[in-house]
Amino acid sequence: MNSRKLQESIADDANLSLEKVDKIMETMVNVMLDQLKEGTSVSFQGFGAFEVRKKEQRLSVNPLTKKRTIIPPKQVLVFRTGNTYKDKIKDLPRNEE
Amino acid sequence: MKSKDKNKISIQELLADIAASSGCDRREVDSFVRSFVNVLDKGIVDDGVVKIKGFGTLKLQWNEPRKSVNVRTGEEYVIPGHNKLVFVPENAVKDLINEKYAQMRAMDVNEENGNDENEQLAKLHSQALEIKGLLDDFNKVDKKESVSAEPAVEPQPEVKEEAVVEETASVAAVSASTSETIVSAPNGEGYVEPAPIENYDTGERKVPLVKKKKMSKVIDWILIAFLVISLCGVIFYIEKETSCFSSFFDTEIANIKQYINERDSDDAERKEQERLQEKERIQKAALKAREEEMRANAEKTGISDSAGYVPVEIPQKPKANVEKKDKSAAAATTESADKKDKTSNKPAAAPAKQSSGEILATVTIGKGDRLTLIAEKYYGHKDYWVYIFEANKGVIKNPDAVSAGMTLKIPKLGSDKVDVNNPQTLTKAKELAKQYLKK
Repeated sequence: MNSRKLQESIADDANLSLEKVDKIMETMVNVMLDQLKEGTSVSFQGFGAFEVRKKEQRLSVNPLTKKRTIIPPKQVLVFRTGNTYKDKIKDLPRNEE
Repeated sequence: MKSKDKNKISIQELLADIAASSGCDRREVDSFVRSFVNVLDKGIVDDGVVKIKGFGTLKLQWNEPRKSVNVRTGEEYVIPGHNKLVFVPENAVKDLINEKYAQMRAMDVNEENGNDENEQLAKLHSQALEIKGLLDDFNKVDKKESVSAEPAVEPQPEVKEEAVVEETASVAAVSASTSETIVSAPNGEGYVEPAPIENYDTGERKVPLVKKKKMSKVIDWILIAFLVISLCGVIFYIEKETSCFSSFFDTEIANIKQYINERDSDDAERKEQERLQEKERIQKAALKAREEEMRANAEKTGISDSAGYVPVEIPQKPKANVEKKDKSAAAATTESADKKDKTSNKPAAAPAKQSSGEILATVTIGKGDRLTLIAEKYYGHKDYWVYIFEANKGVIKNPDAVSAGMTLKIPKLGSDKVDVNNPQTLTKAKELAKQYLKK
């Protein structure tokens, strides 16, 4: 399901115009990203939460050249699936894309 | 986890913010968020993938069933296959989140290599010294060999010559055709070798001998020089790389040591072989003489009582055969096969000899091949492998360990040796095998 379809579905479901859905979605993403940047996780009830995790710096060794490299720390955005939703999707039939 | 505990916010708490910055009604935003989750759910269940523009992609991932162990009880159980929801943020979002550490780059660590280099250079130096010592030893051994080899060899060919003379006399008496090949082989060794020794004794022509020595020395020196040059080249090449030359030198030293050992063992082997051949020849001569006697006796008595003696003579032959077999088994050359044929088929010596000298085929040993397998292929039974071993003593050191790449001659054998229908040939082959395996 691509973004266009998603918006259409939401518009259908919430009885909103497509433009409004587009606008609200864009704003919502921006607001969420602002929060996430601060290190705050954003949760959706019954679905899961988006959160930022810090990956510590580490030493990696190139197996070919044996060169050792320090990889700097970084922050990544992850989605933590809620337990109820996890159980829900767990037993879905295998979906091939 | 910590950050999650510190500050966690629900989307419901953000509704006001979203409404304010989008300019929409709060109720509209509320219904939007509700249906957003519903549609996400629907999209995931139906399609397995939902793409949110400007944010990322949520998709289902199938985890294959796998085995696991209960840590407490040690019991094995299977985690069934299941779906998992994963989120892949867009690249722009990734960069935005990682803004804090964006300017940091991966760095190479080089400080410790400097110390290693010094250490490795010291190691290299010691190894070079070791190699030098080995080469010196090598040269000493060469000189010793060239001095000591002559006197050691000297007495042997003389004895050999006698043996050959004896043999030629007796063999010629028995049958001219059989002696041909046997005599020709010793001729090659026996008559060529004494020549330089004569010179050595009389001192008439010492010059060629010295030249010979010099030549071998020169060859050795060239070899050593080549080794050293190649080593130097490799050392310089490896110095650049500064990585794995220690292991290289270890193998190189091992190679040189092996080479020296091989030289020594080769010499010893050659001498032993010569001794064995000599012994064999003497035995052969003696046996032939005995046979002749026997035949003469048989002829003498046979004239007067031919009917009674013929059956006696036949069992006598195999007896001689067995005796011979024991001796010849100890003396290990291809000639032993020829010899046996000769004695067992005295009247028909010429054809039998020809057939045994012929080569049925040459086989190159592949991986997993064994003598028994080859024997089964060519002779019809695996017990006949001894004859292949006999014919290839020069190549096979240990009949149990035939390594790939060897080229073996498969001799053509008469029905007296190889006949699947004749159990006697089988037992004979087995006896031979026992003897070889004892050694």
